[in-house]
Amino acid sequence: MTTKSLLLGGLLLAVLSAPGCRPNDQRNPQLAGGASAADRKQVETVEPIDKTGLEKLIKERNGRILFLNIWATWCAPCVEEFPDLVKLSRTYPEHEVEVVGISADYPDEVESKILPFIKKHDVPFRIFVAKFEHQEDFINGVNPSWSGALPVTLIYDRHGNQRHFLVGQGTFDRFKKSIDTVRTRL
Amino acid sequence: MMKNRSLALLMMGLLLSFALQAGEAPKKVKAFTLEDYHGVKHSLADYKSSKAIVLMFIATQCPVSNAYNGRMVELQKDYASKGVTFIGINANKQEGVEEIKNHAKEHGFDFPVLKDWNNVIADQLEASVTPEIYVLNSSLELLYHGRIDDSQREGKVSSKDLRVSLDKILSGKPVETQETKAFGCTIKRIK
Repeated sequence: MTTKSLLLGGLLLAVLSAPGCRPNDQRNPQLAGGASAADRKQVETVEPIDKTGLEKLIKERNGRILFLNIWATWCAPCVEEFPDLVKLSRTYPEHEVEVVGISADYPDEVESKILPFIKKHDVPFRIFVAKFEHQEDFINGVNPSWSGALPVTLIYDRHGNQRHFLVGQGTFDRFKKSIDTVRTRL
Repeated sequence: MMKNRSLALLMMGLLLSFALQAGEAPKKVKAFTLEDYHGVKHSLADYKSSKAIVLMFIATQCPVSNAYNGRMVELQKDYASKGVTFIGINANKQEGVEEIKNHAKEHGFDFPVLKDWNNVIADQLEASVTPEIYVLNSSLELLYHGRIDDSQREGKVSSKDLRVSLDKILSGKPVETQETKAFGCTIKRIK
């Protein structure tokens, strides 16, 4: 009986500690199997995101920091900073920092513009396309103090509180510094 | 004595109430002079007889700004005869005079496009994207700031904000929505 209990306990422990089996684990399914941050694969799909989806994304943190970048394929500074975002996403473990992009292109441009862009830049993090009735709803939904100029980057802490609001083109170092200030907070 | 004091307090209260209702005075834009792509100088003072001056920060390479080229031409056609002056301003560091000239010709712009080489005017007005609009009266007071309308796709427009503002100004009525959010490409500044 004691041996049986020990075996069952050991099995349960092994299952719970295995990659991809932690409670509330919402990592990218493409990462299942324990891929390291550097080995992440390019995403294949782009889903639309509305006001409710955006609120949910920010609120449901599961202990992870959210690095949220708003961009568009037509925005030159967004395109210029994108390699740095890809590098960032390969720098931090996804259970600690989640990098997400929301494209301000139109939802009917996913196939023609967004997916080819993702492929070209080998983007390994989730990309949504904004689906809001009016431009102003999108702008105010992201942050009422945002003018609407792209790119803009927001960093939320593990509890979904906005800690950084970075307007304009950034660099890997600037973004990393901002993320690290949030990482040191409880 | 007591009665006079109460009356004075009542008057002060009324004055304060009027002041609050009147709101803030419109922001005044500092007069400036810039050259167009022919090298001709344009000063805001030249347009003081206009019923309204529409400053449009535009670009040659920005797809959002370019989506509005036709609408800007239409606006000029519809409102120039009513006393409204349209002025394009290009503050993007990478877009030169020759490019601006060709772009204006290609799209049939009938309004001057001025080059803001050092972003002086963009900085003064705090313009951040293209297209972004500033509407002034003859005293150079800012009456409207923001977008032309609410969609870069003309077929999806539901709010023609610039036209609504101009119609109000021309009919002598106050502009109800003085500020909207312009959405477009970030102006590429020199620093």
